[in-house]
Amino acid sequence: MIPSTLAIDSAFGALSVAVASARGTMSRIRADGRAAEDLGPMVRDILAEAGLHGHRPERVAVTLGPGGFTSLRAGLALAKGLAMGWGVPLLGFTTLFALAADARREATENKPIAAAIDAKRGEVFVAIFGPDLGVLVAPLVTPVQDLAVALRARVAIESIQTIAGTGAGMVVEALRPFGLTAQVCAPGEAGLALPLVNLAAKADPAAFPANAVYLRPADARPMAPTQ
Amino acid sequence: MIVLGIETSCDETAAAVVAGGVPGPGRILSNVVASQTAEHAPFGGVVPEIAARAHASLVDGVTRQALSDAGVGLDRLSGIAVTAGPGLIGGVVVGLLFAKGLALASGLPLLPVNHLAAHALTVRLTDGVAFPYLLLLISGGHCQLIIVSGPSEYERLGTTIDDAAGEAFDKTAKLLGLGYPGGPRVETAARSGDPFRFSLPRPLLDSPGLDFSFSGLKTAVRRAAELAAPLSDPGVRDLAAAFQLAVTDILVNRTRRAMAAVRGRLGPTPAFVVAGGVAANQALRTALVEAASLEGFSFLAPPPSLCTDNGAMVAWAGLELFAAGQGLGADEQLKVSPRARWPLDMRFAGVPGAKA
Ligand SMILES: Nc1ncnc2c1ncn2[C@@H]1O[C@H](COP(=O)(O)OP(=O)(O)OP(=O)(O)O)[C@@H](O)[C@H]1O
Ligand SMILES: [Mg+2]
Repeated sequence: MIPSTLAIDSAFGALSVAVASARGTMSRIRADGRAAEDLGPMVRDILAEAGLHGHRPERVAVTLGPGGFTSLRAGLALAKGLAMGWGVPLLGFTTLFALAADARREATENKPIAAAIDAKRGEVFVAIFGPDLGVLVAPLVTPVQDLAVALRARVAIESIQTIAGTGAGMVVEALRPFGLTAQVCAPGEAGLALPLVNLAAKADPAAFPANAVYLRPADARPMAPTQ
Repeated sequence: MIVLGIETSCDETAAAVVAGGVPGPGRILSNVVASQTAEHAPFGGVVPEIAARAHASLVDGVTRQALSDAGVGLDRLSGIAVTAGPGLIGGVVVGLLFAKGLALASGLPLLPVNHLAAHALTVRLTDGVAFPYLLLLISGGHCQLIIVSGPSEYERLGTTIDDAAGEAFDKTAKLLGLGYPGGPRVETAARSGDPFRFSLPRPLLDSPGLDFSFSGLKTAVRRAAELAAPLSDPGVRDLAAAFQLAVTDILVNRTRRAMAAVRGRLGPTPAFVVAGGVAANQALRTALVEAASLEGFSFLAPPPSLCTDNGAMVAWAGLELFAAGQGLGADEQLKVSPRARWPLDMRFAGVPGAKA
């Protein structure tokens, strides 16, 4: 029997939570929610609905980014507090991993899945996973025009079957000249917590530590003492 | 009552466990502070995103340490207090959401604390001072004279109209090449300097009212440094001493004026309290002790380690709210918003420029 698991995502605007347990899997999403105010009540509500034994899951999973710095930290901090309060393991997954897990629903062949997020400023966050979601190219950020160079050495571009995420269009455009034929996968309606929750229930906690993934250095402008 | 306090609003990730009841004193069972000073030093000031990242990676470990140092499990707590503002929003979000998670999982009340209230109430934790009292809050972000009448009752008498006191120290230190954090460096330099070699202005000193101003002083320091360039080491020490004396004069002048104005409202044995990181300054402290005694006030100040940001003051402020029945309902507490701005005296909420 899988351990009952709560998954949380707040990395980009939309908030989602999901619970997997012996009674099944359920999820909730809010497109317009504010992480600091709304994520806590969403967790409380889904736990109440899920009717878990002792009203607590046996593990917690959270997305680590890349994403909005403040919003991804909101989810991560809440998850850390919940895991400590319940005394259960916390597992962290990149948003790119969660996108790939989501895309795998639609994958028909045993071929690599790319996940890409528009990182603005002409850049893209990207990672490539095997059909088992093992990492082929670890999450990185790169200018779109350097994408082919960044990826070609590590994966056969024509082998990629599916591309998911807000950066998928950018990747298709940049890699088509290099033989890319992959399908763009539309995002699931349920948000990123749902594709994570069953994976997290089965994963080894030691392999998924919960450290934020920013992929970009902090904007180092001092706020004080200069104003 | 036993309360856990969590603080992440600036550049210290801190957690502490405090036991006791009002009016205090309370007992600090543990007090863990992970300072990020070294991470920010290269930038000459606190970088908000660097601070927020550090809080996110440290907050759980620091909290676990505070609980284990105290030998207390979550099941022994009456509540979880956390700074919900004012401060750098990225850091506040981390502490607040972490505390919400802990509270939701443990079923404990969440006690959202105003960071400035935590500074203001620290003397009750240390000395059990009775309400009301006159407070001079001098920190990195604030410079205010306040009457404290209850855990949520504050009447602001005066505030800086430009820089905070600590900010003035930090900017002056930068200007004089003394490095960061500025306050202690200026104090050390000033100790062996001649405060009378340079003459610096005392802005607002002749004006009525109880407001402060430090930006003209900072400009005068810059001008004096430029005129005397290149500034020798003794020159730096003299200018630091002159600056520290000017700040002291300004703070003493406003404080004495406030004491005269409110003495009648503070009972037969009026108490004067200083709090905030700048209160660690010994020369200033000496001058304020003298001012208090001249005006017939008792003088109280938390020890320096409780003047700078820490979790114990947050735990205590939460304990005060809890004891006063000012906690929130279970639904409400999960929705509490982090606040970059949050004046102690609610008459000033929404006033532009008023950080607090
Ligand atoms: N010995 C000292 N002399 C003068 N100033 C000092 C001394 N020690 C610390 N400071 C100043 O105290 C300030 C830090 O105080 P504190 O930690 O209370 O402020 P903060 O938490 O950053 O600001 P706030 O509480 O207003 O948000 C800094 O500006 C620092 O330079
Ligand atoms: Mg402070």
